[in-house]
Parts: sequence; C-alpha cells; structure tokens
Amino acid sequence: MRSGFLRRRLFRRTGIALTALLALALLAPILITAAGAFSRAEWYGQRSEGAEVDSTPKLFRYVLEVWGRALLRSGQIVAVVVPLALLIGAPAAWAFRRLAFPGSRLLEAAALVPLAVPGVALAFSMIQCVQGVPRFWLLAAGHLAYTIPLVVKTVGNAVETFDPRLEDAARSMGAGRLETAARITAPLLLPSLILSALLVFAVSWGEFNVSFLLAPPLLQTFPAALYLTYTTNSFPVAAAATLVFLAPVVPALIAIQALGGEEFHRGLPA
Amino acid sequence: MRTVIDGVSFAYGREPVLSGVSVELPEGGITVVIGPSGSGKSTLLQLLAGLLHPAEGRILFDGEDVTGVPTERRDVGVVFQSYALFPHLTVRENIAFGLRTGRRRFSLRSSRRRPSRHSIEARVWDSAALLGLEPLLDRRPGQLSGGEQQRVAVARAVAPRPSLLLLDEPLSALDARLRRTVRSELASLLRKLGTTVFYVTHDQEEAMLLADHLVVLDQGRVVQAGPPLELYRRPRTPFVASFLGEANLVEVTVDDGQGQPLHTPFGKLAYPAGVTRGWVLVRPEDVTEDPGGCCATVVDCRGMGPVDRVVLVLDSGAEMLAHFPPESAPTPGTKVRVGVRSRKPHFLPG
Repeated sequence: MRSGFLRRRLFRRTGIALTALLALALLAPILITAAGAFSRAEWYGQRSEGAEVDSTPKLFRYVLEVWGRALLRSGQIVAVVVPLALLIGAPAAWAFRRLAFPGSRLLEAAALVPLAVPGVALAFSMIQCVQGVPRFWLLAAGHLAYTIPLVVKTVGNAVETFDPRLEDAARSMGAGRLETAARITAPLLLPSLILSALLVFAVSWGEFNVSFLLAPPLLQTFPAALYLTYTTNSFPVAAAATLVFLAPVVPALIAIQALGGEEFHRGLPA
Repeated sequence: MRTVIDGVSFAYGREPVLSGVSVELPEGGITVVIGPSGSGKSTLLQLLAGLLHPAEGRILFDGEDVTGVPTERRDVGVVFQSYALFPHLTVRENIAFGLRTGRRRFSLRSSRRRPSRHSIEARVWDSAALLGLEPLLDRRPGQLSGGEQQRVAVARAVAPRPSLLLLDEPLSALDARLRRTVRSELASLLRKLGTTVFYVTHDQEEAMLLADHLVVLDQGRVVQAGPPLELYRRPRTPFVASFLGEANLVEVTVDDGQGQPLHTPFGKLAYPAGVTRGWVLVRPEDVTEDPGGCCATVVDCRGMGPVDRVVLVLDSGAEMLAHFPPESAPTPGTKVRVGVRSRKPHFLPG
C-alpha cells in the first residue's frame, strides 16, 4: 500500500520534471531571442545597420522600416490564404465524409500528400508546371497546398461528430442544399472552422520553404526576409525582427490551445 | 394527400432492401408499416421523404409523379428516430425552421409567399400548444428530457402543415413507461390533425393502436396489408400471425383434398378445396376452459395482471398457449379441458 503510494508519487514527479524540461527546451530559443532583442546598446552596431541603431526603441523602428515590405507581403498572403483554404477545404471535407462517393476516402488521403512533400520539390514543380501566373498567386497556391490538408482534417473530424439526420431534417422542412449548409452545417462546424482558420494562419505566416523559392527577391515574405536578416545583420537586429514576427502568432497559438480544450466542445452534439 | 407507392425497388449497392413494394396510403388516415429490423421499413419512409430515390417504381402524390423530386420540394414532414433536433437553436427556432425556409411546395395549393413574422409566431404557438411545449420555447434541445425532445420533433414536423407526415419509430428512444403514455397522446394528436400519416414501427401494440391501414413488411416485400384487426385475425402467413401477437399455430395435413371439413382438436374446420397442407391459428385469448373440450395438462402458469398466461400440452402432444381470466390460476401438473371460443379458428394454407 505504502510502496504503491511512493511509486505513484515518483511517477508524478518524473512526469512533471520531463514536461518542464520539454517546455524549457521549446521555450529556450524564444527566451534567448527576446534577451537578444532587449540587450544593451553596446552589443550592436558592428554590422551594416550602422551606429545610429543604439537603443531598443530605435532597433524596433529600424526593423519595421527595413522589413515593412516583407511584413506587408506576409499579411497579404495570409489575408488571401486563410479564406481560400477554408472555402476550398471545408466543403471538400464535408463532401469526403458525407457524400462517401466511390474513392472519396482515397481522395481525402491524397489531399494530405502535400504535407509530406518537401517544400523545395513542391516549389520547383510548381514553377515548372505553371507558366504566366503572377508570382503572388503562385506563392498563395503554394501556401494553399500546405494549409488545405489541415482544414480537411480538422473540419472532416468535426463533420463526423454530428448526426447527418440534422441535414436531412432541414431539407425535409424545405431548406435547399445551400440554405441547409448556411443555417445548419456551418453553425455546427463553427468551432472547427475557427480552429482551422487559426491553424492555417499560423502555418501560412511562418511558411519558409515554398515562400523562399517562389517569391522574387524583392517580394520576400517575412520568414524569408528573416533568414536573410540572420545571415547579414547583427543578432540583436535579427532577434528583434523575430519578435515582431512572433507577435501575431503567439495569440493565435494560445487561441488554438484554448479552442482545442473541452470547454469549447461542451454543449455541442456528441 | 392521396399517396401511392407503386412497385418500388431499392438496393444499397448489391444488397436488395426493397423489391417491388406497392402501398396505397388512405387519404387522411394512418398507415403503419411494421416489420423486423432489416425489413426495409425505414428505407421505405426515406423514399417517401425523398431522402433516397428508388431504382425502380414510382411514388405518386395526388396523382403526380414525384419519384425524382428532392426532399425540399416535397410537401412532407418527418419525425426522425433520433429526433434530429438542431442543437444550436432554441425550441422556438426549431419549430419555426420549416416556416422560414424557401420551401417551394410541390403541390401549389398553398400560397407561395413566405408567411409574415407575425403569422410565423402564431403558428409556432399553435404547434407548441398542441404538444404542451409553451414553457419550453426558449430552451435548447440539450436541456430537454427524452419525452420533451420527442414532442419538439413532432411539433417541428407538423408546424408547416405538411400534406404527408412521416414518423420513423418515433417512440423507440423512450423508456417503456413513458412510451405507453406518449403513444396514446400521439395517437389522439394524429387523429386530430387529420393529415395523411405514414408511421414506421417494430412494436406490435403501437401498430394495433395507431393503424387504420397496416402493412407488414418482411425482407423487403409486403407480406400482407389491410385493416389491423383483419391481419390479426386472418393472417396469410405464419410470419404475420406470430409478428402481430402470440399465436398457436398447429400444422395440419389434409389427405383427401376434397374440401371436406377438417377435424381438429378444436372441432370442425372448413378449408379451401385443393389445399392439402397448412396451419390452424388459435390466438391464446380464444382458448377457454370447456368441459366438453379436449384434455390438456397445465405446464406453467403466470399471472400477467390483465390475464393469466397458461402453457398447456394437449393430449395429442401439441403445446398450446392460453390466456385465462385473471386469478383462475390452474396449478401446474393439473388436467384441464379446453376448447376454442365460438369464433372459427383461422386456416392458413401452406
């Protein structure tokens, strides 16, 4: 009895210690980056940015000035990719699960393939195949290839959780397919739609491989610009740029975590 | 609405579910379809609703062929077995749903205009009042008991006043005690509405209580259809006989085939000429103690309340179930003499 209690306590403590270690390992780069961005002024200035960047406020102003275009470009991409990924992915997820046409499962599996393809391969094959498409849309298409699978998976699982009879009931009361989708299906899928929008945002905002290869040098997205920053600027400048980049992602990640919790799904049909 | 199912067949992949089913629903009456699970009765309901479409055959509403018409353009109301209440809407919004849709009725007797906000509210109240749901209008389905959910499902289906009301085992999710009260409430409600009703169940008591027209379905075919008491008294097959209630079926063989009255343990029995084999059906309630009857031994006796359920073995060796008046309670092992109530035993040709 007593040894059982001790063993349980040992397990518990080991678990907590492991979790703490993992959290530290994951957070350490961010903490070091933050420390770099807010470090003392004497540390910077040896590189291209020159002597005028000598305090934390000036550092951030400099970052925004130089990488403002990249930031804007990333914003534009996300603004296009999030709605498009949902508009394409959510109906597809519904169709895969509800219509169950021959080969629907295979098609759903095929929709996940881009996740396993290296960004380099995808980017080069896109450049080879698609001619004459503006680079911005090529870049958006690359991002969609990586984000639509996330929507298909998230929304698809949510589709399984509610009774298909709800849609039948709506139609038996005179609602057409579109009206049923708008008044019944979409509201019931809302949690998964919000969740997948946040996931798409986080992935698209941080996407590097495809963006680096598909975007022309002067129209780089922020993660690609960040890469150049780390290779050409001093560490505090790169660290400050990283923090600017993380600013919108962290709230999104926290929201994803909160939405994934039980709270969010309570009150929805089992 | 005059509703006709005409030679309908349906299959899931290669598995045939319905083969050549024809049913005519009496206008303004209740048609009950009864059958074991897998007999295709729910599929038949979904064909009428337009949720499935038959491979063969036609469905006629008031003489018009609606076979290919989708659900939303058929003038039907459906109560689903799982109720399918919209969990994100209140009871009020659930009931109002069918009043606000862009329903284009297949039959144009009713006006095409959408009803006004005021008339929608009035209709919701009417339906809620019909089922005693007024105090629950602002609740959500998750906050209701099973019986309350069932009533909301019925109120929602009848609110748009469909010409055909379809109910798919609407009481099967309720516990036995509740089912009995809801059943009689539902029966009187459906009669009051006067809508043409198509009701699917596997419960024999429910069927007898509700049906104007009873259809027995087995393995995707109509075995027999007619007034419920007619089916109970004069079933055409042993399956119908035993599905609609407890039945004593005695297999008999007639040698001469001359149409002479047949002598059975229960007396003379007329049978159609040319028939050589068949069964005699005796319902347990028709077996009575009769000093002039045949000899039998009591094997078991159980008081059920309204009747005593007695198992007998006739001297011929046949086992027989009898319902005796309550508290007559013959002791197991004793001998009794039994006969059949004056009503003629029914003969089923084999």
